[in-house]
Parts: sequence; structure tokens; C-alpha cells
Amino acid sequence: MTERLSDEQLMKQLAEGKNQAAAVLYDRYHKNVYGYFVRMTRDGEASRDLTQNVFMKVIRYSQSWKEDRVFAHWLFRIARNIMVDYFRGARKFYDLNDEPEISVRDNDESVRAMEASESFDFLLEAMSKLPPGYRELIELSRFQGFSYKEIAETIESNENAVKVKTFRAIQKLKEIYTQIIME
Amino acid sequence: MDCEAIKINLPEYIDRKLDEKTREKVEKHLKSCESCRALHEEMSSFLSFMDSLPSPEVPEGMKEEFTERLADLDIQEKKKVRVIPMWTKIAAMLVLAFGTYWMGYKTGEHKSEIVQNQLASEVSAQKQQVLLASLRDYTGPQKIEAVYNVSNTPNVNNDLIDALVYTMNSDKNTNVRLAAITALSGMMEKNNRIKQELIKSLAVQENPLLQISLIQVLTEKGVKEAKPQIESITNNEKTDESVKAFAKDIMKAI
Repeated sequence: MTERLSDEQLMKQLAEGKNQAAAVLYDRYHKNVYGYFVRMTRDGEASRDLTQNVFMKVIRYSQSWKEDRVFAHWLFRIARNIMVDYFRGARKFYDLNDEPEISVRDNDESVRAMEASESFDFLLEAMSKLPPGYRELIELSRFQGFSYKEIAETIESNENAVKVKTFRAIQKLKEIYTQIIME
Repeated sequence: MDCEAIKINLPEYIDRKLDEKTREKVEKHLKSCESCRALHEEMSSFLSFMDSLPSPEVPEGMKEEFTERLADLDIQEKKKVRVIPMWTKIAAMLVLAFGTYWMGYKTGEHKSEIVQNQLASEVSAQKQQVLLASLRDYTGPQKIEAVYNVSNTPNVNNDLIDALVYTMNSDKNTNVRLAAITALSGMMEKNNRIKQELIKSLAVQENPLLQISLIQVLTEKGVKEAKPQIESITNNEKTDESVKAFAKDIMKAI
């Protein structure tokens, strides 16, 4: 095994101009970031571009990197800003009736026939029907494993508000999911 | 705690993230409240269903696209660095000369530091063995990480140079080769052989990006011996036009 440099050590080296450190960080995080965009936008093609933009910004902003930060949280702040810009451009961030097209999962009948896969499709469909603010809380708390405190720092809110809203987001998601499978 | 306060704590209770005091309160409440108990069961199974959602597959070629962008960025940055006024070079030489004099003065004064350095280099030699093994056994991005780590070890010996030279000349992945060139050029001052290996590599590399990187590195470090090899690349018909233009340009600048 190689001696593993921490994310923060790599960022320090990136800030010193060693761009190859970004390749290592990319390797560690691009799947998480891509997953984040796919679940938030439900657009695989856009998610690919948005993910690449995040890491190019990591390089660009590395000069302003401060060592007391946790890289993963900083990364998601960048990802989040890029996503807000994307939704603004698409004018869809606050418009719940006009959701982006679903292009993530294979629509092949044989795939859809699989029960487990179908329930995941329903779950993703339910996610896409959640208000974006709630969808983001689900994403950060469940899929990225952030604590409420870390989410509060990422979305510039307070811990208690995040706690209450995350509970509501889960409840809402459960409600929408149940509606979909009942139809 | 009333039912509302209990409910909002349920996700953390299920994930076992609550502090002990709050966890006990929730536990106690759940024993006595049927509706909260039902909600707890429902939420618990829904959350475990959510957590089992598989991550989407990353599209093919995405990683390669990023590493290419990274390599482009390296070239752009190197081009920017190229135009250095002569006075800064003279200043840098003066600083270096003074630094060398000062270091010599210091090491003469503190002999115990030499013993410490020897011990440190023994430890780093062991670390290096592990790093070298990873260069042989891994692929793609792991190799880039390995090359990157190798370049940060202070002990530059022949095994290390052999491994990096082999990677620079033979690895299938252009980006891994590029990483090896960068690592070796960073160590050039530490071992005289590296310079020769980089010059030899000029004849081996066919990829324009790698040729440009080598020319850049060798001219930046002022390796005069590289001049005939660079000229032979420039005069070769098969050489990519961008490489020729770059080589001519940089030779003029020097």
C-alpha cells in the first residue's frame, strides 16, 4: 500500500501548484459528486459536466484554501454553488411543476421488470418530486453522510433548523413514495 | 420531551448518532407512546431502504477527460512561467549561492545533525520500498498517486530512479508517464543520472504532450546536453508541428 496523504495535505500541495494532487482528489471523490448531481438533477449528461466543473474549480480556488477546513465539506459547498447556478440557468430550482427529464436509469423493459430496481426507480422519482431544498437535505444527510452540524455549515443554516427540516424532508419523501407505489 | 421533539430526533436515533442523554429520553418515550413507536418502525425501514439505493454508474471516459484537462492546464501554466526576465534569474542565482554557502557553514557547525539525517534517510528508504512496490502493482490513478508520493520522498537512490524511468518510458497511460516526468524533473538536482535519463527519454516518447513536457523541463533546468536531442526532434519530419513550434520558441527564449 502507498502512504496515503490526507485530502487536506493534497489540497495544500495543490495550492503550491502541484496540479497532479487534483488527480488523486478526483479519484477519491468524483463518484460521490457525480452521484450527488444525478440524484439532484436526474440528468446524467449534465451531471457529468457539472462534476468536471467542480474539480476544475477545486484547482482554481486552491489558492484560497485554508488548512483548518475539511476538504469534503468545502468540496460540497463548491458542488452546491455549481448546482444552484445550473438550476438558475435552467430556471428550475424553484419550479416544482417543471422537473428535469429523467435520463439516469435504463428504461429497458427487462431491467424495469426487476422488482428491486423498480422500487429504486420509484424512490428516485419521489426524490425528484421533493422541493429542491428538501431534496438537498436528504442528499447530504443520507447519501453523503453529513451530520446536521456539517449540513448547517454547508448550506449556511443552523443545526436545529436542519434537524427539523430533515425530519420533514424524510416524511415528505415517504409520503410521495407511498403515493407513487399506490398508483 | 413531547411527541414532536421525539419525532425530530428519530432519524439520528435510528442512525445511533444521538448523545446518550437524548437517546435515553427517546427510548423511554418510545416504550410508553404507541404512535411514536409506530412512526419509529416505519421510518427505520424506510431509511434502510433509502440507504440501500445503489450509487449511479459513472459514465465511461469521464476520468480520462479530467486527466486530459489537467494535463492541458499543466502545459498552459508552464507556458506562462516561461517568460522570466533575466534580472530575476540573476537574483535567484545570487540567493542560491548565498544559500549554499550558509548551509555549508551551518552543517560544519552541527555535526550531530548529519547523524540525524542518516537515521531519517534509513527510515525513508523503508518507506520507499513500499512506494516502489505500489508503482509495479497498481494501475491508472493509483499509479499517479504512487508516483506523486514517490516524488515526495527525500531519499533518491537508483531503485527509485529505475522505477520512475521505467514508468516514464513504458507505462501505457499518458498521464502516468507525465506524472513520472514531473516527479523525475523535481529530483534532478539530487542525482546526476536523472538528467541523462530525461534526455534519453526524448528519443523514446512519441506523444506530443510528453515531448513538450520533456523539452520544457530540460530547458527550464538549463540542461545544455539536451540541445542536440531537442534539435533532432525539431528536425524530424514525423514530429508533431506543435512540438516543433514549441521547441523552436523555447530555444530562442533561452
